Amino acid sequence: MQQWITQFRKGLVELCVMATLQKNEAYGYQIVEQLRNIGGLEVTESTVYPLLARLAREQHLRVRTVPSPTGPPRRYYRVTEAGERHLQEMIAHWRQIQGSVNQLLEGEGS
Amino acid sequence: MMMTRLELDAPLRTLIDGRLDTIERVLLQAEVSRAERVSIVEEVENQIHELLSRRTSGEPTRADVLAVLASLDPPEAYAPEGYRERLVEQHRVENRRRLPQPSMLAVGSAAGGVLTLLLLALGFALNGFESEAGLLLMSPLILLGAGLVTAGGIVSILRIRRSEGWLFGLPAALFAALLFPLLGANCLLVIGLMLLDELGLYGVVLLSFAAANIYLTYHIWRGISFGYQRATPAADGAS
Repeated sequence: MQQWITQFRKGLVELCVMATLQKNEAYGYQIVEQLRNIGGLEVTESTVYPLLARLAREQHLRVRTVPSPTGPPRRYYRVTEAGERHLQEMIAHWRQIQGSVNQLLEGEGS
Repeated sequence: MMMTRLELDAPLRTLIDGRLDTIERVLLQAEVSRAERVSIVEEVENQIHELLSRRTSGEPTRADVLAVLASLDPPEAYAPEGYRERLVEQHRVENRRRLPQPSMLAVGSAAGGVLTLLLLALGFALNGFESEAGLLLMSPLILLGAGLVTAGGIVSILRIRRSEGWLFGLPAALFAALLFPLLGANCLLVIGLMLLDELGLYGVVLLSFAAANIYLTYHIWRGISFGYQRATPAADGAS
């Protein structure tokens, strides 16, 4: 069961990370902590950091480097216009899948 | 808590850099592009510094750094999933080719024990211990042999236990580890008996010693073999 949950979460990480950055920019560890604070969305930094690097490479995220009070400069991420379109597509797919699965489950229940 | 910039001394910096370098090496082996490697490693570095700042308001100690590093995901976790799966499969294939092997140390120690016993018997047979020269020559050899055999037996027990089933030979290792300690203990007890000169009890006590030896050996065997199982390579036709 644990493996299924892990795989299920992995499929949604990109959507969750982009959704976190939709309104406000944030740096890597901040994103990890925000997701951890939401029940059921616990993801590890080893999943988030490579994802952020890939999304930046694909230009779905813009990176701004800011001096940090605690150590090396921080990389703040923000969704680009292309990223916003990508996010909306993912949200549309998510809602479609969610509706279909709910329909299936309700159909089995009745 | 107000976070201030950390001043890390060189040894602590080395600990952190070591972890970051390991992550970078894993990403390089996984053929992640340089730009992405730099990005990921910098994020981890930032996380480490932030966690250290939250942990202590002053200078972090070695224990602080080790605790933070221990809380991180392992370096392999940052690699793409396809690479991790290949690593797991590679490890599985390597294990399939492996066969459990006898512990040469256990075999050698047991053989050494037998040779030392033969040397001891030869010494008695040739009356080697009756002359001073014979005693000076034979005793160190036998003591050295006994020490090496016992040490070899103990070390081979530990190695076999730690091998997760890829080494076998616990009986030989136990024989080597116990041979001379038990022999020595029995000799001391027999000498003690002879001094007491309780002839009537002599036979009974010898039988009791034999029983005690067997009992002790059996329980030590149960202890060292508990949970040990010889590894079996996966059956796929490969030799």
